[in-house]
Amino acid sequence: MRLIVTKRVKPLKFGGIIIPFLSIIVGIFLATIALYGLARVPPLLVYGAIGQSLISPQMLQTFVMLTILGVALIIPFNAAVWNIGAEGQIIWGMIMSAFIGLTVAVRYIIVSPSDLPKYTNMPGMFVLPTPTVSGAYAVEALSMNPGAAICLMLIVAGIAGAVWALIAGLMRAYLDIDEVATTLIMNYIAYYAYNYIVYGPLQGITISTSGFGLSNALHPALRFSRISTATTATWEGVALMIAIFVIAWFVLRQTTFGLRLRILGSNPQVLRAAGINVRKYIVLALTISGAIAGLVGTILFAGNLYQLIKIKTITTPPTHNIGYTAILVSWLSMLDIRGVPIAAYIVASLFQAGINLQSSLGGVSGGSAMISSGALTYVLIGFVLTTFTVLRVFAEYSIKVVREGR
Amino acid sequence: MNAGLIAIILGVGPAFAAYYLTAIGHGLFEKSGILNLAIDGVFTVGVAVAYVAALFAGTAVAGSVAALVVAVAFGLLIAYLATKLPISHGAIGLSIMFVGYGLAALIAVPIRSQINAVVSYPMNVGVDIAFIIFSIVIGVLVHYMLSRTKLGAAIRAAGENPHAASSLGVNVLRVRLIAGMLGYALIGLGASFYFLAYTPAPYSEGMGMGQGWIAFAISLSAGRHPILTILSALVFAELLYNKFVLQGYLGLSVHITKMIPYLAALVAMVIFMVTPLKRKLAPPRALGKIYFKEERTV
Repeated sequence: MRLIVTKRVKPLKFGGIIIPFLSIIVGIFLATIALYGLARVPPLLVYGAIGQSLISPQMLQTFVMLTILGVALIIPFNAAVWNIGAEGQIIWGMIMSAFIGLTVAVRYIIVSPSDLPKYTNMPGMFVLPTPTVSGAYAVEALSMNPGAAICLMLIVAGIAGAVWALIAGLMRAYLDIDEVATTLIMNYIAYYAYNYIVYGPLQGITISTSGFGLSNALHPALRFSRISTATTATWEGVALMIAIFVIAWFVLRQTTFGLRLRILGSNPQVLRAAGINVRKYIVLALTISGAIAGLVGTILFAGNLYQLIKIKTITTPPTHNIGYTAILVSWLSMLDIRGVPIAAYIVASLFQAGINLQSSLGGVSGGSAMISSGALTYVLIGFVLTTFTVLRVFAEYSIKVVREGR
Repeated sequence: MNAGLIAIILGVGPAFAAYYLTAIGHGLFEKSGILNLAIDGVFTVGVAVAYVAALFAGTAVAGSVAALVVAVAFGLLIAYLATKLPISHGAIGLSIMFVGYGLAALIAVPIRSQINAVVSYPMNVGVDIAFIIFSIVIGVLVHYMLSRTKLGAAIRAAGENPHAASSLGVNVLRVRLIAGMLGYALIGLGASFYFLAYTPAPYSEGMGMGQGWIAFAISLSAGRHPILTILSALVFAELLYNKFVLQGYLGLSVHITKMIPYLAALVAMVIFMVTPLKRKLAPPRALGKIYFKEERTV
């Protein structure tokens, strides 16, 4: 018996839908085997966590961020430029949002405990919960219009993400250094830079934050507004998601720029023959991607966390590895932007499932409760990705079984 | 020279062995034409397996053997999938990297939360010297194998032009499976030395993550040449081993010293690409290219 791989004349009908779904089912199945075999996590607990997260309102914020990141990654991926550095770009977006929100947009008034009652109910004032080292209290007062401050946060975060990606883009375009390696290595640099900053320039001024790897908390007027109390998703985040999705769809599908990006992915020789500067497109694809990822940094900081918190271990950055998870979103969408929201919904459920599963592991004996939600998410997305990478072959190739005579 | 200084110089042995073996394993595998992006995930698994196996067997050697065996399994899987099926090397490598990150936690974290002990290689100058000699001997053997033997010629042919190699009678799949096996054996060994000899601390989740990428950069900046890699691995190992010295003398923050190896990795890759080294030690021409004949048997 032999197996024969042949290229299909036409791609598999509905392959863009069947293959992702099949991969998700098979991948989850393999992940549960690994979870049970290595850490005695009951499969029912895994399925329960996934089922629960499919309808959980908590996953909405993850969905919003993953849709934006999926769009951010699909732009360079269409050009066969692999931005694996969304993590680092988000981190820089967070750092720069915090820089604007905690230093430029507010000023700190130091008041003695006896004067504090005057400030607690004053509009526009935000009293930091614990006193400063000297025993006095710090009050954040807005020094600019909050709307303008939020816009500034987004702009600066976008620029920060873009610059971080630009470095890898230039290295790829002009020195031919593999961008997968550089963007990944730069994620680690961003993580340590972040830790340096939360222990240094942006460390808090109160006794519970200074030197503890925490920044001050963001002024409530600069925080994004939650859609409801049941979810961490924000109106600003949803608005950004829709705007970015529509613009990116238009650019990728309706402009020559988008067309050239896609040709760069499939046949760069054609572009070179047409006299188009291929390097410029490589750099632009990465820079745009980084800019969008940087915006996610603001959504995370001003929408969810309100504070920079140190990275204790490298598996648990404040991003919860969402920049890596987004790779799965853009691959599952088969690099078609219309598929991004659907893929983001499914992956957001898997992502939330990692968190839900972690919290339900408490009752499981054998120490598996100590496994972080980040690692559980890695198991789920890793197996789905691997299955998808292999099964994807079937969209364009058919595999036949031939029985040998005899 | 006093004994203390000698100890500081030779103390780099375990770190050097860990990075050097991982880097030449990576280079050997990539010589066969497969883009190896799974390195960091498998390295992380190797660290976890080494920790658990050494703990249960009570000897560090068992940890190294177990890490080697597990890494070889990954190497064979990657080599098989990337050669037999028309799939992107980058995609399969990254996917397996994520699987590796997850599996490492599943393997080691539950054990760690129940047992608070570490079994490691003994730490003394003699052992440090043994690590240096052992890894350089392996490096010379790999270099000899690649440049002087039939197998080495076949591996290089598979990396330069697998179609031509195949029509000259080289079994590309078999050659790449061997390269995957040998390459990942060294990566597994390197990962085990990283944990059992260089940083034998109680396991914490994510141990070893990112180190595979440093080895990746070490190999790339030496053009995947086993002998030249001695130099680049030594530079990185000294940088990592002496990070506390850097911290002390230069007054650098701990976060910055942790960042330096990654910055150095970027710089090393740039140096390699802008100097004549790039032309002299060009990457295999078919590296990362899908090897597929229109119709074939799996």
